[in-house]
Amino acid sequence: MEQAGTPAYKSDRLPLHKIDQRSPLMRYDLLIAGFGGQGALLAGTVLCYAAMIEGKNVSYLPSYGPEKRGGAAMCTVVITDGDVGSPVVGNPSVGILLNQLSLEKYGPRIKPGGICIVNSSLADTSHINRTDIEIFEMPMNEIAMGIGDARLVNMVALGAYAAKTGAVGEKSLEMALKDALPERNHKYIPVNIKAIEAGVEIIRKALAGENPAEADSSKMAEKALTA
Amino acid sequence: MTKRLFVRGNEAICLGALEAGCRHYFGYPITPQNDIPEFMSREIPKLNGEFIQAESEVAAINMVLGAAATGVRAMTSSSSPGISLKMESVSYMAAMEVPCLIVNISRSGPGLGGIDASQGDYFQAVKGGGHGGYHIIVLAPASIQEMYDLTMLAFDLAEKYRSPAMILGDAVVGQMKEPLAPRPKPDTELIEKNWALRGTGEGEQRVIKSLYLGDGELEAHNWKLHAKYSLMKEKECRWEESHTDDAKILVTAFGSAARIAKTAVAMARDEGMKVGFLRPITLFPFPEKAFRDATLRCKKVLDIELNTGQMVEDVRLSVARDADVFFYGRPSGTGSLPTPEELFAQIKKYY
Repeated sequence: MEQAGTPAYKSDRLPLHKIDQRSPLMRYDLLIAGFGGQGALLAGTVLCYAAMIEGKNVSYLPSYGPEKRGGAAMCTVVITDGDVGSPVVGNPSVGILLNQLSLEKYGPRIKPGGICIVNSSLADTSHINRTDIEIFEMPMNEIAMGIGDARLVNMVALGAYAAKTGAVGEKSLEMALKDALPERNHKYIPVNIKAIEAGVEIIRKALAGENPAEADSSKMAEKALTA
Repeated sequence: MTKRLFVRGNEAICLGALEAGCRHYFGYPITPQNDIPEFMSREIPKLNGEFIQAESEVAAINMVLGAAATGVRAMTSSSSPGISLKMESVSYMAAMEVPCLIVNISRSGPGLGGIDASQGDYFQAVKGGGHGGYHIIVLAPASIQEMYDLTMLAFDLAEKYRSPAMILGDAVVGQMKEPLAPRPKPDTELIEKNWALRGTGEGEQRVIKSLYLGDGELEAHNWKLHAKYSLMKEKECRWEESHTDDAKILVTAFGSAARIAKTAVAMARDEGMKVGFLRPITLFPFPEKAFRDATLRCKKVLDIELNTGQMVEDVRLSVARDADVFFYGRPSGTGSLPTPEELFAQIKKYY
């Protein structure tokens, strides 16, 4: 431990707080929200493990209140090469919003120039009047059901996030499942990987010019799976 | 490098305590620190230690007193209202000079309050908390790594000074997860516990007590305690500082608030503002000299807390005479955690 009577840490290195294109150091922050049971918190945890596999610093702050199943669930994640600084993120650069309530509550808080990944199965973006952010809608419930289980919504979202931002590699996410899930659930890893891949694929296609919001949802899921 | 763990702050405290050799935990459940007894109830029995979920907070802290009086490393944990209940015994242990660890993952108050992050227990922690006029060592971790490191340090300092030590955290540092490099326990010199009770047998009689009725006895005991507190102030202050050399304003905060404030300082620096940062790690002893030295150069201090102003009093007592101390705080409750953007606006206001 440090010497007493002198600063434990005297450093003029401060936390990174914005992405500076000129700097090799990166920083990503993210807010994931949904209702309890959609896996918002697990998504945050898997993402952190993935970033740690890549040698990054991370923080994961779950919303902590008198929560209950079906109630609101939210976490903020920071991934960086430097000091994390605040685990509390006021205006996230990316939001993954899994239901209507989350979209209404956190959509307006996304930083101008930021990205909003929305589960259009449960959230309607038509009244979100923001032209200063990029909105990616995808019917995550249908996509998840197409893979076999509605509970895979969070992994679809994570795949989409990784593909869109490059915050972590897809392979790291897949490896992270082993760290994040208890041994007894490791048998579900392959289906979770499928869901992550589906999310990645949708973003790749959207970036190639196909708009996921306009695509027929069941076809989308099918395409994602066969891709 | 050993593989980094990804754990909650509450779990980091447990890992630190076990690494420090603590095998005796006594507690009573309360949110937001329940991960601590949960972890300890699972792990301590495997190490042939003693985990007891007591019938109340008062019982738990007195079990700590009993165990620690025999020289073992013992701890309890609770959250604000539960810590209030324990205070009678903390006063006794300060008087009896029994080393132990008390963890307060504080929540909002007063009264039953709420379960959100709060720094409303600063006064209680650093001014003694119980009756009679005493201090205990108080450490304020701001990261998961520090939750681990400072827990080990707390046990060492407690034994070095024969005093209870406290980890003062809150729901943010207790519940958030970050990577943790579980370093081995520092190679500190173990002090022989020639005061520890060890049952009847050979040797001189040892007594641990807080009742001193003889003429002049209690006054002498109080002066002895006072001298110990002065020594702590001289030797054991710890803090973090950055950019204090050219700062026009110094931002100070402890624990979770310091994490938010540090990003606000980074935002200010990026706009070319000369802002410094000073975070007390030991709240008692308070790093008075660090504040005095920094304010010989920088004449403005902005203190930020998750309460309506507590540490700010110690800051005012510590700074150079001609320095101005400003305060910004949010008393806790659901939705009252300030954001870096909000604190940045405050820095601009006073800059």
